[in-house]
Amino acid sequence: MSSSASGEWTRATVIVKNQITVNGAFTAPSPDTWLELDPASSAASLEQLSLADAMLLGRRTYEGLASVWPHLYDDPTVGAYADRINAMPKYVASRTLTGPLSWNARLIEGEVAEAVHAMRDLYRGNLIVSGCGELTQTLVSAGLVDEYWFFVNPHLWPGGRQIQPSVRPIPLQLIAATGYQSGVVWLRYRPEAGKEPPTTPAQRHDSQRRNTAISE
Amino acid sequence: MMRLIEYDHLSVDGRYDGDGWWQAQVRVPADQTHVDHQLELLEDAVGLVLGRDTYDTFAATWPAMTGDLADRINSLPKYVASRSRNVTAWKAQVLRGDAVAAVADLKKSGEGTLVKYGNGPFSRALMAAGLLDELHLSFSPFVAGAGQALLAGIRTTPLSLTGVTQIGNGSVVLSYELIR
Repeated sequence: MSSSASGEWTRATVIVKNQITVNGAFTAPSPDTWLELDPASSAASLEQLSLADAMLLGRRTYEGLASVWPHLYDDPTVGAYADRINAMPKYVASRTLTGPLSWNARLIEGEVAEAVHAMRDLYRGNLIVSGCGELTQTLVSAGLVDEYWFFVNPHLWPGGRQIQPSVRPIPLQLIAATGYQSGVVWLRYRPEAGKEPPTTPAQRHDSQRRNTAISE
Repeated sequence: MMRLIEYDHLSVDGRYDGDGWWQAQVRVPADQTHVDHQLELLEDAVGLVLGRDTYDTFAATWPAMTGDLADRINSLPKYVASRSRNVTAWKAQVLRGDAVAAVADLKKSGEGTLVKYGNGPFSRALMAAGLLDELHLSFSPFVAGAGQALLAGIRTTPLSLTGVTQIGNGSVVLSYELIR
C-alpha cells in the first residue's frame, strides 16, 4: 500500500501500450523495424519510461524484447532508453516458461488478474503492459486497464498479425492526441464506463446515414 | 491534375467494418464539428469517387437530408465504379471500362480534389496504381475487437503525416500524404 504525504491513497496506473501502423498492424520485436526517430519523440519516450515502475509482458513480447534491448546499451541513439528498460523490473505471464528468467524479469505467480491487482498497490507509478495478446485481453476483461496508449506509426503494412486488445468492442474516452515531427502520433485513451452499445437494425441504419464512410 | 483524397472512419485498432465496429461507431455521433470538418474537406472538391456499395447506401440516404453538408454532397458529381449496371441517379456516372484507368483520366482532366469515401478492393487498386494522393483517417474512440482491417493486403507503404485534428466526441483525424 502506498499513500501520499496528505494521506491520500495512490496506486499504480496500468497502461496498455502499443506501437501500431495506421492500419492496426502489430509491433515487431525488433526496435529498428519501427523506430521513427526525432528529438521530440525520443525525449518523450524516455520521459515516459522514467515514469514507469515496471513492465508486464506476455511470453512472445518478453522473448522478443529480451533478445534485442540488452545489446543496445551503448547505442548512440537509443542507449539511454536501453539502460532504463534493461534495469526496469519485468513481470512475465506464461504457462510454458520456467524460471529463472533473464533481463531482470520474473514469472507472474498464480492467477494473472489477481497478481496485477496486487501490483497496483505495490507500485505508485506506471505499470506498462506492452503487447496485445492474451495478457492484455485478460486484463481488459478483468477491468484492470486504466489507460490505452497507441503510437500510430506513419506506415501501411500488408497485414500479418492485427492488433487485438479485446475480442469485443471497448468504448474509449480520448485524453490527448500528440503528433511528432517523425510522423508518429500518440493517441491516449481511458476506458469509458457505463454505456451499452445499441444493436437494433434501426439504430444501425441511422448511423449509416450519419457516417460518411462505410465499406465499398 | 486533380488530387484524390480518401476519407475513412476507423476504430483505434484499424477496423472499418464488422458488427462490433458498427455497434461502437453508432455511439460516436457526428456533431457540428464533424460536419464542419467534412465541409472543409470538400471545399475544393469537384466530385466524389465511390465504390458501388458506398454509392448505393449514400444514394439511398443523402438526397433526403438537409443542411450545408447534405447540400454539398448532393450537388457534387459522383463517379462510381460499377461493372454490373449503369447508374445515373443522384448526379452519378459510371467510371467506364477499367475504373482505375478511368480515374487516372479523370484526374488529368482538370484541377481540384476528388474525395473518396469508403474502403475496400477499389481503394487498394487505386493505391497500387499510384492514384491515391492523401489518406484522411478519422480514428473513433473505441477498439472494435474484430472486423475488416483497413487496406488489408496492400504492400508496405510509407506515409507522411500532414495533420492531427481533434474533431470532437473523442475522434481524431490523422491526415497523410502517400509517399511514392
